[in-house]
Amino acid sequence: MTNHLVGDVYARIIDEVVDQSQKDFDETGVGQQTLSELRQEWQVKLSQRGVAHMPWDPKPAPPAAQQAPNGVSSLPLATNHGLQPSSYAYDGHGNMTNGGTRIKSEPGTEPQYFQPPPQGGVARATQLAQEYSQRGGLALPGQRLQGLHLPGQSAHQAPQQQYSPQQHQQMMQQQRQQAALQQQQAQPRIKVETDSPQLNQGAFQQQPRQPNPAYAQTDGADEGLEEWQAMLAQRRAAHAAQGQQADRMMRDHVMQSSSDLQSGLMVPLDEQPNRLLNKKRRTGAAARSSSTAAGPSVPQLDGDVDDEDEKPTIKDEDDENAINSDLDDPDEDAAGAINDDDEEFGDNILCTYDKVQRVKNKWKCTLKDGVMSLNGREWVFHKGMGEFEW
Amino acid sequence: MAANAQQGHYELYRGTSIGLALADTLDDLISSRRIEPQLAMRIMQNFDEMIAKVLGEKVKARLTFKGHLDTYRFCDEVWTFIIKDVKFKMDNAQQSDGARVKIVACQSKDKV
Repeated sequence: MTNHLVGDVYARIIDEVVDQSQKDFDETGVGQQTLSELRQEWQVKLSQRGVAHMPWDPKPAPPAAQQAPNGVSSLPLATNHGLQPSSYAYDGHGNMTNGGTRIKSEPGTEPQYFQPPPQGGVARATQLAQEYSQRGGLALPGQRLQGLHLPGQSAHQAPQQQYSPQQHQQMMQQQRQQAALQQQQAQPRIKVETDSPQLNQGAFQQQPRQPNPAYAQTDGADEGLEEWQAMLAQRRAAHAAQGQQADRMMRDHVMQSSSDLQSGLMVPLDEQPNRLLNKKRRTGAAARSSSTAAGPSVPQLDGDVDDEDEKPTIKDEDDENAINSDLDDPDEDAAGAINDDDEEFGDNILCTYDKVQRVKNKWKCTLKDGVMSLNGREWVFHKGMGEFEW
Repeated sequence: MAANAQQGHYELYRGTSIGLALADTLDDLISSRRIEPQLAMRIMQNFDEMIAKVLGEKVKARLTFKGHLDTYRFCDEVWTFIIKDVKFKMDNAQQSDGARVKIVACQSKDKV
């Protein structure tokens, strides 16, 4: 069982999931571009975990790990995980334009939907507007020139195309297209202004090599751009306001369900649904014993309960009517024993079982289809036999 | 709990690195409002299905291990073991040690 196998298996899983998800993307009207980007990011994130060597990792010039030769398609990636924008793309490949592309579609023609990082949307937008006004005289050597031999979609056309979409902003598809155009215009400026040194570094590594459509326009202002900036500022403000709440949603969900799964019994008591029942029962007892007490769960609507002030904040140990069993104690040791490890980085095996047998203190189990994470690496196995004594 | 109702695939493997990487990616896409959470859930379900399928079809490796069982639990058809001082043996006689390994095992589908 070599660790190498893991990369192949994972690559296959990604393929299958992406294939399978295609129809879901179609049904929900989300472009295939997003799907291929999902695939890229997934691979990148998986590689960052370093659990095994992945086939797309940049070792012997694997096609999968290459970023697209055209700046348009590679830029969003670099921006999205700006921390390591170049770690996987440039290893040993001096000339980006010769590399294969991971994006299936034609990068220059298909719009990429771009969103800025969630934070500081408004500020960035205004900054962008300012920068744009200075742009006429601001000559960044090398970059502007490169933009001139840009094929296909130049910024000349961009502003004109924008007019009609802007009047129908509500339509999702057009918005996406606008965003793509905007991305082409805004991209280099975002890079230049970023505060993070890593981002800057990434930007500078890329820019000399990648012709960018945004610089194709060298003669005066785009007429549509002012409108653009306004619309973009709005969008970014909305995004900054709403984006945070969606952040980490899926991850939390996964963590939650896996912890549910793994510790049905040991979930901290106050997170368990029947904890509420417990409390009610307990406070019911308290109410009965001290006849004037209103249970904490029942709001006091009438009269004063001066002597009962502390009741609503009653603690287990204060409540003489609690059973005071160890089982009631949420932070008792047994609960910690199974849940205290960091799920994500601890050594673990996730699998299915065929058989679990015990004779006295000797256990034998037959495991199947497992993924084992050990010392930061991962292995997969078809069958696992375990013997251990308790 | 462990399996999603319509398709009966365990969500167990979402805790692997590949599952977590997918969840992170979907998070990014959701928070940049490029996909809806519902779509993300569908993709996670596809992942549940596909990882089980690929693991079943493509992986042939075997593993044996011995250790000291520290904690065991069987709840809702899910076994959880915490094993200490484990020695793993892979197919190619490769050995690995783990000081504390947690095993979470759902019931194999073949038996259901």
